[in-house]
Amino acid sequence: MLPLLYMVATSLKTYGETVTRVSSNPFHPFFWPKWNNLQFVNYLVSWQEGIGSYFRNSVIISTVTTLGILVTSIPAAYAFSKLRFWGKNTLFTILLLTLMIPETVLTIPNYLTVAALGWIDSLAALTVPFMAGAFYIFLLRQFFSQIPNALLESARIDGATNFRTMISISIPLVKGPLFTISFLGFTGAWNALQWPLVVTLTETWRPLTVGLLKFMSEAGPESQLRMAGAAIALLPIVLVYIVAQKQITDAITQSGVKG
Amino acid sequence: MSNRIILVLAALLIIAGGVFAGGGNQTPAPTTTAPAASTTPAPTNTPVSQSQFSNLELQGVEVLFWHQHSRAREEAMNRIIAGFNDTNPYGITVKGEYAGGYGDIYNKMISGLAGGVVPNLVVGYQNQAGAYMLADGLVDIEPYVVDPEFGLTATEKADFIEGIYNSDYNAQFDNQRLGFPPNRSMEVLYYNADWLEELGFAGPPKTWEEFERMAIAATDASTGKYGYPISTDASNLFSLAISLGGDGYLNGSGTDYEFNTPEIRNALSMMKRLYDAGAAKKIAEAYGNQTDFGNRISLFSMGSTSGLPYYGSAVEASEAGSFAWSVAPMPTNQSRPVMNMYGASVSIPKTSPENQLAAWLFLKYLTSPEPQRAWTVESGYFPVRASVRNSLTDYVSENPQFGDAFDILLNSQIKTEPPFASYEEVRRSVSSTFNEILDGADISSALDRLTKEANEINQDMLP
Amino acid sequence: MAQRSHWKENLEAYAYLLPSFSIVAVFGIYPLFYTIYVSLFRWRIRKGDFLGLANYEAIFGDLAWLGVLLGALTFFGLALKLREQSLTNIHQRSQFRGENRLRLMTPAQRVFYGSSWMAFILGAGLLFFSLPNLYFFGDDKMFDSLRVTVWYSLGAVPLQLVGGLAVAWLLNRKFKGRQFFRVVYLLPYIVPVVAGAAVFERLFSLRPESFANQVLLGLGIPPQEWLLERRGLVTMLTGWAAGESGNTVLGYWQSWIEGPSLALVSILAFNWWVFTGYYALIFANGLSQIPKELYEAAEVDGASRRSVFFRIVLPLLSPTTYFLTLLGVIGTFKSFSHIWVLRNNLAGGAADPLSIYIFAVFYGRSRFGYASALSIVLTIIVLLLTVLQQRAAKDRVHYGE
Repeated sequence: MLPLLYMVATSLKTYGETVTRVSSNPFHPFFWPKWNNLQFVNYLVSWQEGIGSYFRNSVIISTVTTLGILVTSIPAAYAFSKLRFWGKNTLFTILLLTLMIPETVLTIPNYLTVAALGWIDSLAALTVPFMAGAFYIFLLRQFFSQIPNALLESARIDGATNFRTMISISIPLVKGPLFTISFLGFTGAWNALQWPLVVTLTETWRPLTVGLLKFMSEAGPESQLRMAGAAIALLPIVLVYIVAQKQITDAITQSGVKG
Repeated sequence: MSNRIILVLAALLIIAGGVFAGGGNQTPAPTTTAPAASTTPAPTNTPVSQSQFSNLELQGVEVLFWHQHSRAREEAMNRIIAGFNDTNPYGITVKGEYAGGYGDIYNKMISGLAGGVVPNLVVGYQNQAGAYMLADGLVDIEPYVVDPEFGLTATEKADFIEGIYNSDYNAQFDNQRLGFPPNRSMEVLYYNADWLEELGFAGPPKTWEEFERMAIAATDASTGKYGYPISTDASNLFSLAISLGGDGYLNGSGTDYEFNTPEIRNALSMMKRLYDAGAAKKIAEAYGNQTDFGNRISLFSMGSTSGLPYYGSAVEASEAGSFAWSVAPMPTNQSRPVMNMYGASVSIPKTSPENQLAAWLFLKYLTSPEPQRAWTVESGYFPVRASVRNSLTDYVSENPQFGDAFDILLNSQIKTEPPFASYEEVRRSVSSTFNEILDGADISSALDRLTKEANEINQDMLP
Repeated sequence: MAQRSHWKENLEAYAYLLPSFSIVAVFGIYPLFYTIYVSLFRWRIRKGDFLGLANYEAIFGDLAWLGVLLGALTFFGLALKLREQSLTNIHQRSQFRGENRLRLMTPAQRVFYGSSWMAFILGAGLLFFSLPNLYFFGDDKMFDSLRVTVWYSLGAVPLQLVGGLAVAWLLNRKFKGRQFFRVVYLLPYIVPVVAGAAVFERLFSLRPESFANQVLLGLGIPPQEWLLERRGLVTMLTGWAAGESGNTVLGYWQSWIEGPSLALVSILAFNWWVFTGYYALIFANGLSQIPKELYEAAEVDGASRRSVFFRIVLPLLSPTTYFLTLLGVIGTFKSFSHIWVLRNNLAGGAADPLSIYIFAVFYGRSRFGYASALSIVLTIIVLLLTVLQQRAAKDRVHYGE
């Protein structure tokens, strides 16, 4: 957890201090800011620099993306694990293939697509491409597969449709993984840098990650601001996480399938 | 059966991709270029009697400007932009956008040129502009500069510092003017004046022999002090090379790279000598040279003049107490100092004739004396107009090092790095080779390898 | 009657798949075809001449040697298949562990077994000669970066699996500070990459006071250059280097023995820090699927904690483990941002995996066509690895019930 400590310590220095008091060793006094001169103002400056609105953007983007991921992945994963249909294996392999494509390759074609759709600089461009989460489908499918078919059969005999079965029986059984996926999806969107950089034209939807770049000016990195900004960026996720982790770990440590 | 269908689908998709991609092949509507600019080898101001732009409707035109400024500089730029928006008689509105660092902007432009959206004004180095031209993405600005109605008058033109004014003509593209300079910086030698005095020297080094002696004198293994943190940056090596005479990185005819020259070999040998003697060390982390200089651990540092404010803060906050310092021209064996001047210019991508003209008009405003003065004071960059020097007396008295630097600019011979599209990539190879040599590689053969590699890259990226 | 419900079920399934597949098709699949299309051209930002497979030829140099390499791979595949054949039903027939497999095989199976080894040796031989020659005739930067990729993957995946599992297991145990631990283990993953990298750059700086160097000092080792150090681990530990014999077949393989560069190891450290928590999260999910009754039953039977772990937990965890390994390998081969923020030019490519090289060709040299070809090659390599893993895992992964 040393790096996090470093981040906070640096965020409380003045620029001059970040340059002259350099050490990554916590036992060395240079690691720490001057205690009589803690620069909490860095956080304020960081916020005013626009971090505030970038923050809001990131929250919206991440939330929308997460919802999108859930809506698209759950049915797909369910279909792959529990339903029978023509072309199942082929489609699954295709899905697997998409996972193997390097990021750089995806950027330009997707950029062209987004441009053609007129989505440049819009919320859509920042959220929809991320919903194509083969990974989430895989993970969910994994866990759906572990639900014994017997359980579903009995529901079917009782007259429930596939849809109802999915909603009322299967989904509650994978609560843990669902929270996990939401968390990962949210974090993935929150931390994305390459794509938003290319796809945003103005400040309208600029997310936090791009905003943090602003503190790297060409002749001197204002580390103290960057670290303050990063700490701010971290904060909500940490809060969300602390709240959610109780849900996640409870769901995780409970047994998945009872007899 | 299903497999065959998949195959057919795949083939269809490839074709679809081709059709879609084929769209990206269209070049934007050609602009009217005055014939004069493309035929003259040397940039001359061929008089054009009538403006070719007077029929363009500028009312309500919007100009999108991508730059890399943040914080105080961004605010200053926004003020200038607001000034233009309020006072220009044409009804043009400019919008400035922070678009990332230079590298990010470059990547965005490449993506944009591949078929997306480009801004109306974009900052970039000369070699980046060259790269954009591989996709025919930029407008030749010269016709706008010489235009009788919208261009510069003879007096205005004369006010531009010559070395700066000429730096944007690109020989690889028929000497078109691919950018216009709003500001510049220089690679200079930072020195600790107090320390030099303690060591018994009268002033900053004028020759490289003096530099070596001073660096070694400052080195004391027991306290960890040393002379110079080695910048392995390609721009820095260029500065060293030109200070020893020679053409920098190009061969005699200026068409290919040539790194195995006596000047470069000398520069690298000197660095290696200092490194082996412990008088020069590798930079520990980004901007580590600022750290060491500020903490009085290194006697010298080399860097851009745009770093002056940052060095200033470092010295003030120094753990060792602040000290007298300033900047000096690079030591040299020539009669006048030879300085590497760099800085991003602003280029105009090809969009529509109206937007292009509007973009130029903003550039003209940006480089007029009052905005230049305001910009210099906020940013620490050099202005591009000599007359601005007179209005900077207050700023100079507060920042004497800036005054020193500016004087150096006005009294030196200026050279600039290769504006080739390939240079962006070649820079990386240069610093890698520099590091290899410090680690012990044979200088001559390493430079030959570098030359070969650089020219290979260059061949690939010729227009 | 059966036909009708069949149709309906198909349609329903497609409806379930529609939302995600429509996005995947546009943003995941279409780019692949677009890339293939671009790779057939000379494409410098704008489309150029049609080149056919020339880009691919440039990568491999001599297509003949590529053929040899493919031959090697075919032999490996053959070896696997033969081995499979030779080992069918073996487990069923053995009375106790450790019984000599050879004795249990039918004569036919023994032949298969022997042939599988021969095929393997043949494949290895072909590989031994083809890879260096491809390196010499083709794009050596590409093969160098491929080697870096392999080291990166080897360095990251096993350690993250073990580390992740350990952390996940710990999450279940009760101990002091458990709540704190639960919060903290995922933090590295959610820190923005740029910020985390900036911190790691400082931690691993070559300055003697940096954290990494201080640790070394404690161990009596002089300070290192970390992210700038292009020499391999083995070279640094033993002083042995491949020397000037670089241009021969033997020399090429010797350079492999040098090991991953210290720069790469530093970047790996960053990777471990970030991703161990992530692996732990997924493992924890997997652990949760194991019914508590099994634990209780084992306890009742008097099984030790260790054997519970190895006999019950691990096998039941195997789908998750397989899943993570698959993902881990794919992920490390593709990994870009986590390396990009730390790599330094001065290390001269010693820490640049293939993904970085592709990026450099794309943006640094604007050679879209060539970069696309490289990407397709990378995709194919990852594909092969995936298939390999699937085959290897067939017998080892136990699903639910």
